[in-house]
Amino acid sequence: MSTPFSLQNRDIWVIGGAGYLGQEVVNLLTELGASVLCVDLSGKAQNGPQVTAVDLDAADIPALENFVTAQIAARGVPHGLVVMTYASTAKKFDDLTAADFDYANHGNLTATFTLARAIGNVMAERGSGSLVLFSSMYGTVSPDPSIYEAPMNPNPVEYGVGKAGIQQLTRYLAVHFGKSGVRCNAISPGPFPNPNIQRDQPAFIERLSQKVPLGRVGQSPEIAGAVAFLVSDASTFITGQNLAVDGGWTVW
Amino acid sequence: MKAFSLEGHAALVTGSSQGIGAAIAQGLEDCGAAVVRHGLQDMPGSVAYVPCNLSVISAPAQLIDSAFALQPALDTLICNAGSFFDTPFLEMTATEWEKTISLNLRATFFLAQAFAKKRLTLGGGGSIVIVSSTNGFQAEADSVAYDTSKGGLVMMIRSLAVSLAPHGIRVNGIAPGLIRTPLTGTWMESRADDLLKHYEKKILLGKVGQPSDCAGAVAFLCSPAASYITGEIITIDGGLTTSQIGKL
Repeated sequence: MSTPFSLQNRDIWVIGGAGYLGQEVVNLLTELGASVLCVDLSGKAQNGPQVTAVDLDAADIPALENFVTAQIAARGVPHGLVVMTYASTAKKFDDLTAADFDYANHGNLTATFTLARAIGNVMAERGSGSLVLFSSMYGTVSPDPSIYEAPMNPNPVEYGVGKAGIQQLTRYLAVHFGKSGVRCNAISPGPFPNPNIQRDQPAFIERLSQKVPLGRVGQSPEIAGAVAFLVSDASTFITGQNLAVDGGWTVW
Repeated sequence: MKAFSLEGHAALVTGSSQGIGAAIAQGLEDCGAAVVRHGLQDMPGSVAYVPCNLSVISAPAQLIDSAFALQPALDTLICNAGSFFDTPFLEMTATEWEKTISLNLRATFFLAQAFAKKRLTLGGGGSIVIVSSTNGFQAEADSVAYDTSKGGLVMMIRSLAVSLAPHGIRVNGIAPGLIRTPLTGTWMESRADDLLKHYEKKILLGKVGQPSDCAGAVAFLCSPAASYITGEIITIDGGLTTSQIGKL
């Protein structure tokens, strides 16, 4: 059975690849035949079949630039770049300082921009490539404070501001790199609470589920298909798009 | 390839005798699905093909019946049939308006309704993909009925997604931009001006799309890999609408 979803002989770099959702992305990409550079904070990423682990704090711009230079020298220009990192303070709205806000914007926007531009430029020289950036439903709609009961903090303002910025960064990069054959798309996950929250906060999970047309939160493997689709030949005429994987959260 | 496999699934693709529909049907088959095709014309000798005129009020429900007769476990519906009947705005008649709305909008709604009724008798579940257009959100002069119908499909996709989610039926769409098909090919060739050049300049990826460019997105949306995606519309336009299309 030949399908356009095969990733044989493709090299995909996943930044944030050891996270809760990142691991599933790496698993599916390798299952489809890709070699993967799995990049995450110190000690988190693990080597495996088809997987090379690298430590990187993406918010450290000089380290990020060194990483790009070294990995292109070692592996060549990747076919796909997936950026899943984010920064957030988890502080309450009124406690957030200007420095906190800058810190989050730096991690969410400046780091993603710097990385996507560097990799996009070398992909453009080659004439092909796919950039996949991670936004969020909270880059599209505001969180609903009523679903958070004390001591939980509502999803913080700096997170959604950054994720909204990723959506426009996606469109800008799509236009900037389009004529060079480099595509850029975003994915906006809906509610994908991690296993600890799913286990410890059943009432919260129920409140989240009520806000989803499909009536449930997402499970981590359900994010991976969208990434695989966007780096594959099944999406070669798709660029500048934001693909919601949210059970319908942003539909109603 | 399990995530994208459609083995064990059966699909009806309306308007699949040519163009985008034919490519979608082929793409679903390539991923392992059994496919029932539909077109306006009789195609003697073809198997798993049902001809009918979906502009007739009773036709959508009858087509669904025929498709389930061929594939009793049909679980995937692709509403692709549609056309363009616009005349210059000031000359448009009620009859021409109705031609667009009855095919592009009414038939799509009643196909989805008849499909959902059948699925509920089988315990629910399934997937619908509706083919809208970039004209559903970016306007074109002298294309009022078509643009309105495709914009209507954008909201139909979202509204059906919410209505059918409790029954486990996901509803998504694609919005193709300029794709070379028998329908658009005639139109492009009929224009003596630099329309095609303008479009090729505006399409970031530098070329008019092919029907096969739409097949992957539909196969993805119908597959287990899209199990948490509903109410979503994937634009397939090479970046045409990422910035303004503007004056032609």
